[in-house]
Amino acid sequence: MLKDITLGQYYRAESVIHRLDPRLKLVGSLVFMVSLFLFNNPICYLTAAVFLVIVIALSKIPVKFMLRGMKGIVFLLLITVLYHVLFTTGTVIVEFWIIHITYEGILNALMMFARLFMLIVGSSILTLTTTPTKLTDGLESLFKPLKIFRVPVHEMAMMMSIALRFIPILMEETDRIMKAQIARGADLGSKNIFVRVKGLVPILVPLFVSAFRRAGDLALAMEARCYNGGEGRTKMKVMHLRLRDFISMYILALYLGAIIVLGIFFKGLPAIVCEDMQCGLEFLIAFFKGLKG
Amino acid sequence: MELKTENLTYEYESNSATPTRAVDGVSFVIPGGEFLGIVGHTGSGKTTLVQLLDGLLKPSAGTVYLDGEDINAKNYSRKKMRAGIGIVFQYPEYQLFESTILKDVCFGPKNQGLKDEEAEKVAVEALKRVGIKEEQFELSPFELSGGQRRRVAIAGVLAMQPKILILDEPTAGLDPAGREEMLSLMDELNRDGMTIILISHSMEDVAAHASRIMVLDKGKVFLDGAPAEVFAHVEELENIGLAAPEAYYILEEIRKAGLEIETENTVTVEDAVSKIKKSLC
Ligand SMILES: Nc1ncnc2c1ncn2[C@@H]1O[C@H](COP(=O)(O)OP(=O)(O)OP(=O)(O)O)[C@@H](O)[C@H]1O
Ligand SMILES: [Mg+2]
Repeated sequence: MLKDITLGQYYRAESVIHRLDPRLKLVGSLVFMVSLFLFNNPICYLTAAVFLVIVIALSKIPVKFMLRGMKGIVFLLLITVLYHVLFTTGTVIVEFWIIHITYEGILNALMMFARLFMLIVGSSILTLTTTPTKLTDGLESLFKPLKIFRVPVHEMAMMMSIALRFIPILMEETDRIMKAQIARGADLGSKNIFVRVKGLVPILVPLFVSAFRRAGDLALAMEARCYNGGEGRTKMKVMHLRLRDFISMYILALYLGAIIVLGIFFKGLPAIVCEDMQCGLEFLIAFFKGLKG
Repeated sequence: MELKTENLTYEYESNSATPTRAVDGVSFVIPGGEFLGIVGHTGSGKTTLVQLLDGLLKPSAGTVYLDGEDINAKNYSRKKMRAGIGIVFQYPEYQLFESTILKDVCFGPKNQGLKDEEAEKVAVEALKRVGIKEEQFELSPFELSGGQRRRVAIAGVLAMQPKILILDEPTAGLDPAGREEMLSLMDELNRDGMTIILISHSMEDVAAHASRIMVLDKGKVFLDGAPAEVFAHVEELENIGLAAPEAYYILEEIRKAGLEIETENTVTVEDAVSKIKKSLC
């Protein structure tokens, strides 16, 4: 019943990107996101897109699988595009009632679309190619310096990995409880919202009870094996940076450098593109008028 | 009520690359009033099979008939089916949710459309039947011991007055006295005309109580028949990771030690005792 929901959308494959150190991937994703926000310039977006396509190709994730996760944000993308098309001031193309569509608006909308789209695809590569365990290990290691400020980094990472570990177990439990209550005649598919909310009680109560019971059992089991926090605790899998990680680091630095140089160098590009669009459109209109006449 | 399956098949993750076929082309008839024991190794598909019988899973192929009607047909009334078949899951004590035992047992009957007083009446009856005392009715389910909680959960299903009762390992984790009580409750219900389908890992339990035993292996029916018939296939059972009841092995040992004794058809401890007595006189 609940088996169709997949959480932590890891895609198993053998690729360079999968093998990279999780810390590097975390930093890499951050760098990529920042690079998208540094400049609002078509050429920067183009560079980012090329970079992204190469990474996706290297990661061996089917494009279909990547795009499946985008369904949820189509609406958000649409609203952003509409907002920019309708509310950007500049040289007007079409105007009626309170709506002005401008060249700047269209360009902005396109660039915003590219930015958001790449932002989401870029960050999904991280979770698609890194197992949740590696991800938490990476986060713990990256945030270690915060221990100076008494941030309980290890405890937080431990909490995260336990939570991730328990998601499938709780899903299974929910499935079982649901079946048991359906067998007792519970009506879970009712159209009436009140009946439906009431129908959740027989499922949520046993689920919480069992979650607390499991939490208690786990705490006991950890204590029985002398777990007492992160102090002096060694890792089973120690992370080492390898040659591929250093190479990726250089590539990443090169990419960021390229974005900055291009961004500064082609500062005036958006305005030029707008002018070109205007010229192009006027040319087309004149052309069609000429055809008619 | 007669329960019948035809070529029943179920696959988990059927649209993935590697579907697990948990139930594979199973056909059988369970006439009303039978006490059927289902045994099988871990993962042989017992739980999946009974969930199919209760319509909680939709078969990938094949049909389940209740009194000749397909329970997965579009116009078949689910309510009618639920009134016919009750199912007690593995560790049912974890499905309790109400503030008092009585209220929890009333949940099923109320879903069937009974009025409060009527529901309470059947609930009280069911609770007494499983051996819960009247002074405990207003307790919270969480104040009870595990064994008592399980009885309350079983009462919750009994209160719906099913004609067929399916129990998935109801004795797991109970002490010997609790097991015996649970099994004699099933005998009693069966005597009153209820069909009992009991899943168990214990050969001794099914041997002593069931009138028919079905052995599952890898989703298929491996053996099906009266206890004596099924347990005559000791070697086959051992090959699929099961065993005959202990009593049989004890008699075998005695025979090997040199006593003239007949070991065939040893199903229950009583069988063994009478055979030992016979060979000693
Ligand atoms: N939710 C599920 N998703 C995928 N596969 C499952 C699921 N539930 C069961 N299976 C698989 O189906 C097969 C049969 O499982 P089932 O639970 O019916 O066995 P069982 O005979 O009840 O075992 P046990 O004696 O351990 O309770 C097993 O191979 C199991 O791995
Ligand atoms: Mg089972």
